Amino acid sequence: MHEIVTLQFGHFANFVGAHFWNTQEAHFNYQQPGDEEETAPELVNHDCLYRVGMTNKGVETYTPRALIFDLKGGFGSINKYKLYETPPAQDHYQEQYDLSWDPSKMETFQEQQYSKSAYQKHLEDEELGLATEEGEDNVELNEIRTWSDYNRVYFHPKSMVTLTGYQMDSEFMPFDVFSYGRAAFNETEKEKETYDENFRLFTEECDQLQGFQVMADVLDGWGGYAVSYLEQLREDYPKATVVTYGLSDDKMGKNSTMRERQTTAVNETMAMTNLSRLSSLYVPVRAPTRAMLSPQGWTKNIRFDPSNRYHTSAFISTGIDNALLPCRLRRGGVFMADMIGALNWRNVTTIGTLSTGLPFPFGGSKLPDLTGKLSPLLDLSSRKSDEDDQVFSQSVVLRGLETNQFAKYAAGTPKTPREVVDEMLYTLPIGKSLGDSKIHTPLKYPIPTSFPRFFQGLTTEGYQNTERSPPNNREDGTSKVNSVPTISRLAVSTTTRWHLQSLSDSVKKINLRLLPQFDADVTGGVNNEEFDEAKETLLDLYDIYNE
Amino acid sequence: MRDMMPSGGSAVSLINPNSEVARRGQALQLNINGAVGLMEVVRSNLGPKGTIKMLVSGAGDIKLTKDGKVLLSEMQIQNPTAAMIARAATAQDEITGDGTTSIVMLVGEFMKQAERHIAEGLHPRIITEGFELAKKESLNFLDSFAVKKEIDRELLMSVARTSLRTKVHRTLADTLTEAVVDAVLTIYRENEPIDLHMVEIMAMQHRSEIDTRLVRGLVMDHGARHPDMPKRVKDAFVLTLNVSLEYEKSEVNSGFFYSSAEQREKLVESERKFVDEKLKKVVELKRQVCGDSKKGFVIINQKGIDPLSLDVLAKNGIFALRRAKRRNMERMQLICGGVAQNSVDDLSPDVLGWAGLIYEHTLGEEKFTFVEDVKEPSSATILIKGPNPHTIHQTKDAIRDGLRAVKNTLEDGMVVPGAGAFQVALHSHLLKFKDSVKGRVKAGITSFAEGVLVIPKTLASNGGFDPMDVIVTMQEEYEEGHIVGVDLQSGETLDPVAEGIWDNYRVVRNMMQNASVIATNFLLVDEMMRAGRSSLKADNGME
Repeated sequence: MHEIVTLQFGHFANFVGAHFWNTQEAHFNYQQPGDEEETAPELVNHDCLYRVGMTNKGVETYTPRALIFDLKGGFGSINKYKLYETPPAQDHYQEQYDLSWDPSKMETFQEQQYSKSAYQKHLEDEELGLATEEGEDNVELNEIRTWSDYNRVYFHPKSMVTLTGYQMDSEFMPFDVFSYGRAAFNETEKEKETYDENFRLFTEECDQLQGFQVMADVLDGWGGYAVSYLEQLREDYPKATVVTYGLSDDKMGKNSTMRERQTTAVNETMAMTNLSRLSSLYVPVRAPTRAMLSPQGWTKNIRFDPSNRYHTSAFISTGIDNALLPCRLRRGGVFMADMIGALNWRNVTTIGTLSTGLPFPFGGSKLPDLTGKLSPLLDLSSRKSDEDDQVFSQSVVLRGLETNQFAKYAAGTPKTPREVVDEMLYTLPIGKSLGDSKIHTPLKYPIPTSFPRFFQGLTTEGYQNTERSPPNNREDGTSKVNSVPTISRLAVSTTTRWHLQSLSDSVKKINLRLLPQFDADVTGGVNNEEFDEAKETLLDLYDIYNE
Repeated sequence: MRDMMPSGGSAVSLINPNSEVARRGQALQLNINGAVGLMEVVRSNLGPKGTIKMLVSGAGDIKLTKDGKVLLSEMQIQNPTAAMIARAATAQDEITGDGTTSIVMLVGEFMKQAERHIAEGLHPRIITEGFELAKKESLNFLDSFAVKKEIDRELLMSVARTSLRTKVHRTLADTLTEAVVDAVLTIYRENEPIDLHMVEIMAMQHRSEIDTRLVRGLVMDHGARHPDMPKRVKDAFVLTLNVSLEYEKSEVNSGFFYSSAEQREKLVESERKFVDEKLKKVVELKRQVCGDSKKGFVIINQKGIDPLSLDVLAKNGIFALRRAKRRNMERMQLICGGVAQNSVDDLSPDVLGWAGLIYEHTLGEEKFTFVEDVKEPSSATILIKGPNPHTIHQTKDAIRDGLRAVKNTLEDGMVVPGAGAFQVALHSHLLKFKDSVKGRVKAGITSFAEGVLVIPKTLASNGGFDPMDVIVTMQEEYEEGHIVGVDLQSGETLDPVAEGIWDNYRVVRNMMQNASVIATNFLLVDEMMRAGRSSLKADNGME
């Protein structure tokens, strides 16, 4: 079965995760076997990421093998038990439950109901048969406040864990320090035993676990939480393949005062050094910023708003989806252990980079240039790169195009379409290992209705519009697409040194004693030796990548 | 923020002009309001006649509780003072397992009582000095008031019942009482510390919470993963393992190191052989001990077992569980005997445990494995049942507290008469004590003495009786030399000793101690500023 279990730590991680799972769901082929339409077998094995379950009433369920952590309030309007329980009607809680209690002795405290987004209301109507999917295009998606507003997926009740003690957006007790995360892990485990109760549910049933895919916010308390969780995981799974995406964006760490900047830098240092130690591959992923927009390059076909988490998380989720796609393919796939082993063949380079192109511009007069300034590929991990940078190893995925679609670029040359594709992919710097992998699959990257409507100049299939294939535009000029071709690249490269260098510079002079929130005397606290060790680790890693 | 601030103009605002600052009188008022507000929220919970609160989250999730600790951690508390009191009070629960609501009540009432004297111009410092004296005297008095008794099952039942009836409805409380007492007695060894983790708490969502029971054995939340494995085994040898029985590819020898498909196959094969060798040893042991008899053989493994290995085990009639909880390794040995093995090198009949009956039970997608009918177990499982997640939650919370109450009693070796008896006696004692003290600190002692009465008063009013009437009757009878508590059925008095209403000594002790410390801290705050968490934290020592 080759199961992959996903762990999501933090609110931004869950923004990304929501897009990720919505896209998985869009892959499903709902046609019944025997339907005439059913022809090609599915290219992806969904059972890697999904599990079959059953409610107590005997209804079958198909839910993600995922564990999602968020703060109190972070789950928005999602009701944990919805899939497995019949929720009572709004005003009748008391009658439906607890007949054993004297009703005169009951008091009800109702929090303000979390108002559902227009999109969620539409999904509900659709479920009840009151609306159709076609109408979804009219649903306003600009009012997204949190990931639950556009989440389409039903999770298993045990997939969702609310942290003990911290509230979303609390001014009084913000969850913004690495140490708080480690302490919160202890508290939450003491209270809820999520490792035994939730995590084990998803791992015990795996016959041939490939590994774990982890998304974690790293600039705030979540980094500490993820570190503690992975430490526990490693005790039981010392050899398992763990791929961790360390996520960050401008909203995550506070940056207005020097003290805040220092706190954020210490958080990132502690998270990065520990997560890369605990993971088989740690991939820092930073949301694209305004300065990175490139209207002729990677943002050519998207109206991208870098200040909007709904947009940035969608872009990141594309990369994450593609990165491990080779491990989920039915044919020609690889095991996570093999793939990550090939990437980190030196065994000391546990930090990788992820680049993504959304869409892969296809259908124009010539194929795009994958290198250079106007490359459709955006590197989400490296802070900068220069000409000396080298790639140790890489895994490239080009997705959503049949080989023979490249025929037009081969016309008039002696090359076969296959050679045209290879030639284009080989313009990317070649790794030093024999393990470079390039996967080219016709599997489409589907665009669910929950995805940002930010595409422009594309046909329904996500190709560049040309005279022969006009775009399918909405009134606001965005293109309505069902799927797009994409390209992604997971690599281990010397560009990581720039990230290590800048992080190392920013923590070099920090005196931890002036940042009392890391208090070494409380649970989860960071002491001086630990911090010094982390700084040391950054330098060691820098040396490895700076060869 | 103590008394270090120069008078006139806030020093804090000099340092940080952006901070919001509340000065002396104002700060104190804010703290008192916060404390009293929190008290009002939990007031109706106190005691067996308290109300139950249903918390409905913004997404419609339900939580039912009567437990102060649960309530305080679930509710969104916005007032900083209230939030800090809540944190400090829930810390009490960590230590003793009970008394959260009482602490919040005491803190609120202490501050309310102090407010009267402060309004008359007394400096808070004088009051808190009185508090300090009163607290010390209370703890001394508690030691003389507590009863040293022989600890038998009956006493433990009384203590557990007293605690549980304040958490869940009566019928359920009485069901749970027996379960928690017997569970603790199963794991209790004289003169050894009690590790409550050795009691497993397992939940099954079906039927009613009244069906919750003690299983003298172990219940696990997973089952065999092979269709041909026996689902019910009698007279079984039990092997507890922490050995991986799955083919695991280590990262080191993957990818880069083999260049051809054959080479890869070879590697896989050799790794597979490694696992097969381990299986062989296990199967040999099974043959050795079971022979041709009908005896069963069961493996509980903390590590994984892959389908190929399961296949081998199933073919040999072995029932195997994989990925068992870490703690169950220890519990298993306490229940079945035997020694958990970290490798298959030293397998011998001596390391095996035994159970009379092991069977699997399926409920929807969930599987449960029961290990029962064992000889002299020194661990046990409380099996919770309930129709929905929130009933199960509530029952689980109550069981945890009940277990703590029984453990505390065994460890304390003494108990305190409950139903408000201690507080009434303490009040009377403190008023006499006050006369032996000179000066203005008397005011603090009076405040403290009046403050503790909030407990019996609230018990009475939650029972639907007039608190003043009840208190006066109790005090009269106490002066006549009786130990009296409030009877919540009749509103009259009762003798808690005769009725078997006992509180934990350490719960009461911690309660007095903490409530007084928290109230003191808040009374002494004379300036509050809003400038981020660390500054608040650094200055008032509350966290």
